[in-house]
Amino acid sequence: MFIALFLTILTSFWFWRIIDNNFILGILLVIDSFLIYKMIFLREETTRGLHISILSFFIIIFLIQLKAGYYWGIWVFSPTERIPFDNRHNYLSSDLGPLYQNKASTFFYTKMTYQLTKYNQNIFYNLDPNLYFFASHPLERQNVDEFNKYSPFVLPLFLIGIIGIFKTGAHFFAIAYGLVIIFASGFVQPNYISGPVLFFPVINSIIAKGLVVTFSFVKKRFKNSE
Amino acid sequence: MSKKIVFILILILSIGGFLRFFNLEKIPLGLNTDEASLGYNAYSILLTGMDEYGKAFPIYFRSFGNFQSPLYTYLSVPIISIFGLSVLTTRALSALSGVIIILLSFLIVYKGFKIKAIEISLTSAFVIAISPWAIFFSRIALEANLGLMLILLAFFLVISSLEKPRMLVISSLVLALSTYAYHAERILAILFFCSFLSLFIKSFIKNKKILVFSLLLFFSLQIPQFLLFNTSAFNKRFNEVNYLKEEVFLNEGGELKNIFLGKYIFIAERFTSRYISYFSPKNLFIDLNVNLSAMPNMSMFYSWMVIPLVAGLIKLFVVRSKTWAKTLLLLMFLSPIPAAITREPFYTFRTLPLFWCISITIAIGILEILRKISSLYLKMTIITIILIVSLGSFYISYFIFFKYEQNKGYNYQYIQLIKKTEQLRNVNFMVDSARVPSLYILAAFYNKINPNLIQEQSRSRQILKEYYTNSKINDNDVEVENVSFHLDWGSTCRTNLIIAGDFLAISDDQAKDHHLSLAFEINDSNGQAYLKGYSTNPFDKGCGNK
Repeated sequence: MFIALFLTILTSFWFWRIIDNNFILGILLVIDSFLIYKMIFLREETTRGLHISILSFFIIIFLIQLKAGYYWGIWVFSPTERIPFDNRHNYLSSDLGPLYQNKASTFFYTKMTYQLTKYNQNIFYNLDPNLYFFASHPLERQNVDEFNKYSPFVLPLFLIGIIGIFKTGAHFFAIAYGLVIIFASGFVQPNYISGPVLFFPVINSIIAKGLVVTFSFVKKRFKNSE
Repeated sequence: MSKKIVFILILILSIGGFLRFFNLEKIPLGLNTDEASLGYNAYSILLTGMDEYGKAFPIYFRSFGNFQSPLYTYLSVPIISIFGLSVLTTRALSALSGVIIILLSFLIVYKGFKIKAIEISLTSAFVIAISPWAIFFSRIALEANLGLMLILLAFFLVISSLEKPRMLVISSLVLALSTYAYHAERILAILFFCSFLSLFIKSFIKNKKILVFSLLLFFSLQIPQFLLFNTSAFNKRFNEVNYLKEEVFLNEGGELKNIFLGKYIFIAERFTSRYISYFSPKNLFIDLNVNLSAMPNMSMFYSWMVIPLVAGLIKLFVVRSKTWAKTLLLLMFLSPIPAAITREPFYTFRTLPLFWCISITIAIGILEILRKISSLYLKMTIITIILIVSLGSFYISYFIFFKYEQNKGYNYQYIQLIKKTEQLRNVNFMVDSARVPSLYILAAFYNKINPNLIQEQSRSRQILKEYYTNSKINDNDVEVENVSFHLDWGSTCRTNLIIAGDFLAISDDQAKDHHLSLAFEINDSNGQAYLKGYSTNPFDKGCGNK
């Protein structure tokens, strides 16, 4: 199983890009991938120590990413974003009248709406399968250096791995961890040079699981045919 | 069904109906040219039995070099005959289809799926009633919405046929009709019908006569379309939008051009990426690039719906062996195929059946989550807050932002210009239509021009002889009463003429050079002049006695 994971990591374009940009981050993510794989798919072997290790790795990786991409993640308007935002302020004022023209509403719109919208967008961008297997094609994002993370041929293995999770169910800690990385990833700008690295260990684990299941299936068929 | 259930269903239908019909003629603000073409052709069929080109009861309606599916136009005829030609009557069929979709959602889950828990049926109907995609697509004259309604009706009938085989005959008829409603349904109907029959062949093989008759009925009703198979009418749109052609591969194939079987890898890659994009949470739950097929600040579903969607998918996976789950999953996975073989990324019009399937899955997920909450008070609080936030954000996105930001896409300013031409009937107008090439149809629609006048111009251009085959004839060179739609600077020597257009058509320098006087301005939603009308001054220009 760990061989499958190792193969998955080594053959992914993403791993080499991360190593190229930040060697230490790459090593941390590889170790984290093994820990995550154990947590999701080898539940009987999980221990409290494993959970603490995973959490520690998450915090370190998140801080590395946050340092590079937090400010631009949700706090900065581009000019193309600013113009419609300002226009909508006028539309709301015109149509909603006193319902909008009060301190609370205008504060919410001018100080919070943009950040909440960006945060929401960042989360959903990271949940896009095309981001990982097709470099966001056919809806490539503006001003973002889209790059191939995995070969499209690996997609079936990923889907088999997802079915594997559905079949075996997921440990509570795994579900919680999944939610944490989803919500945490929203704080980082989408065009962070190494991509949404918090998802790197999880996706590797799922693909590796798919590889293991496929290999087992083929092996079984081969034995039966003999 | 108890009275309480009927009451709740009527309440849901009322909410859905209100969201679809409220201010329908005003929002979207304006009318896009496809809607105008649908409405005006229905008007023309009503008065003359022919479309705007003079073709009697066409199988496909020619529309600015493309071809529209006919069913929406024909079904709009009775509505327009009773209530007259207007924006409301043109959109009414789509809105009505939207309300019927809510009812069908209830019936499919309650009667078709035979899920005992009535709350799933009611929740399904309610989710459809308030889903952004369902409301948005019901509020424009959209053939795809009518197509969805027919697909769902056929879906209901075909599931029912597992117990009552004779329903298969009616379902094949309805499925065949759906192929005349929208182009994507031509592919989906065949795929779904054949797949469903294959999946449940053991049930149908016992009634071979009914099975054979249904298949024959379905395919024989396709004959009018098959007869046009090699014409532009049948395949022009597909030829324009698909990526299966050699030239697309040569332009976009990249390194695959040098690989053995590279073209097939290219096609497989394109298909898979597009197919997956229709299931992507990014595209389903957050703001797309704003265009006519989406609202500002909102995508097809509310963001919070991703949570019940996951719960619903898990539930579907668990019960996947059940008949209803199999049929729902079948429709879900077949629905994106017509869209996935085209070039446009996430073209929502072509995948309405998928959004319906996702909505039902969301409804299942909502109930799975609510069942885990024991406190009724907490359940009601969560539901209330979510509803208020959802409907509030929908109101803002659609009734405010969309109204202002998309009015150019719905030609609002040009419609004001056309109304101006109607007010000034004694003046001749020359309107630049470079940005909206089919502008004449808006004039014909709003001024309710006698179709004979438009048809005569088409006859003179020999369009009828090559109606289905030659889409390249320039059929935009039409004059409507006192308005022509081409700018001719040589005409600035004419009196009693107003030249109108945007700043790209008529710059300030050009107006000065041709001695034009500003007659009026039409503003955009931000209050800035978007269109200007200039009257000619031939004497000032030195045109002599003209």
